[in-house]
Amino acid sequence: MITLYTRVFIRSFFLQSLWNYERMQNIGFVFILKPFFDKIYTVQERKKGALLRHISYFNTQPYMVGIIVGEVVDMERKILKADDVNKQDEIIREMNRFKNNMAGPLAAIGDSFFYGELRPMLSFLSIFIMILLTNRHPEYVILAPIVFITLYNLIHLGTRICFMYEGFKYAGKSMKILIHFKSISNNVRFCVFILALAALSLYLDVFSFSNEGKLFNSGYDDLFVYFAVFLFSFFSASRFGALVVMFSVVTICIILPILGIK
Amino acid sequence: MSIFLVSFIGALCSTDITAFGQFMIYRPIFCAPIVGFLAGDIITGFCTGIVVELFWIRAVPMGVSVVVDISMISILSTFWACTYSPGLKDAAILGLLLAIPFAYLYRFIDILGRKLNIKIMYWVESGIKDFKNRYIEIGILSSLILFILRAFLFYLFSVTVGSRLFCDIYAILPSYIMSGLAKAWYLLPVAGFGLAYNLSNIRLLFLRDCGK
Repeated sequence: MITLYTRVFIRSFFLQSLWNYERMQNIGFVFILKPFFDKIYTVQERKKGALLRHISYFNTQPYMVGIIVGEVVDMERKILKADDVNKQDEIIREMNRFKNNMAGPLAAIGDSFFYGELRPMLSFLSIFIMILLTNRHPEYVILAPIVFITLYNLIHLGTRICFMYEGFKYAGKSMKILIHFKSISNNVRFCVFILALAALSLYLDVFSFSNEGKLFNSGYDDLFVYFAVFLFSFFSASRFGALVVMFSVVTICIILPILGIK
Repeated sequence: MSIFLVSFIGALCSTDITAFGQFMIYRPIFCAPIVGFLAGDIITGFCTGIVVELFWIRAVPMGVSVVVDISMISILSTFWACTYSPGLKDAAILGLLLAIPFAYLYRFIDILGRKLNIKIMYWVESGIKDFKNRYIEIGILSSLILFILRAFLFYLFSVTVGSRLFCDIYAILPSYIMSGLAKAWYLLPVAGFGLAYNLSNIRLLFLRDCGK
């Protein structure tokens, strides 16, 4: 049984391999469940029915799929044990309701936490370490991206394993694990703010206020320029997007010397 | 560093965005310094990585959105700058600006690839109906191989064509533009921080507290 769970877990990395616009992760989800169906269904017709049940639209956050897989596996077992056709239909309806109702909220929680909070936090931490090492020990600067990838994947893989384990072990009650997310999420968001501030301060200290980063030779205040660029990008980001801000900053840098500001 | 190696690394990073794993090896903060390290100029790699990471900090695939391949921007720009003009700040920024159109072009190809996946999905469905359950594995594998292959081929194309473009443009750039690009090297990370502050969830921290 351990081998079966391991196979299901490894297959969960392929959830989006056949991502498509019509039904999104449907084949990926069937691909995850297939070893389980191979084990429990001996009658081919019933296995076909089970596979076709899950080929409809499905979309969630890839890290959170373990919870849904665990619950679905539990319900499929119940379908197999139910002798009455009406009872089977009832469980199937319940399973479809569960899948449809939970995929969206799990995607929202997962995207918001992993992509919106955890990854930016570790990005800022990595940037901070990079700048620090560039200034003090440039030979070790390669450690910064390694720290990022190691920390992120420790948490990411830990979450995947934990969710799949919870899904299988506490089927029907596994959702309680999500309660912890809110408190963790608020703390992570605060850390993002602190780390972003620390990384910006360190960057300005190491690069911008040093002789190397001196922008103008004719008495213009560099601090004012850096501050103006920061404010410009801060206020124009939502309206114009990253590309416009980037090309605007480069254009300004090219135009200023032409205007005599050198 | 050969173009085959950089294309292979790039294809792996592009695959990580949606098709397999999501281990975040596609984030510029990781892949740009690694390419810089392999090309012998890690500082350029890490500066490019910082800029691209900060500017596209919210660029993650959610729902049906197909985001621009930011690993492509960071890998191509780092490769060009480190290979043809190592240590030159203006060249690094030129590489960055030149890599962006390639990444947007690849997004268009990526969307076409996902439309092709619909056909593979129907093929798998017909296989299941005919009791040919191996179609599920074949479908997943073929889609993954197609993904890696198209990313690899596009990287080969971009690196080859882009290298020529990069060298030609850099050779004819007037000195005032080079000076402006060198200034942008210092200012872009600061602009990136401003952008990251605005777009990331940091604002919500204050909005939530204000609401209490």
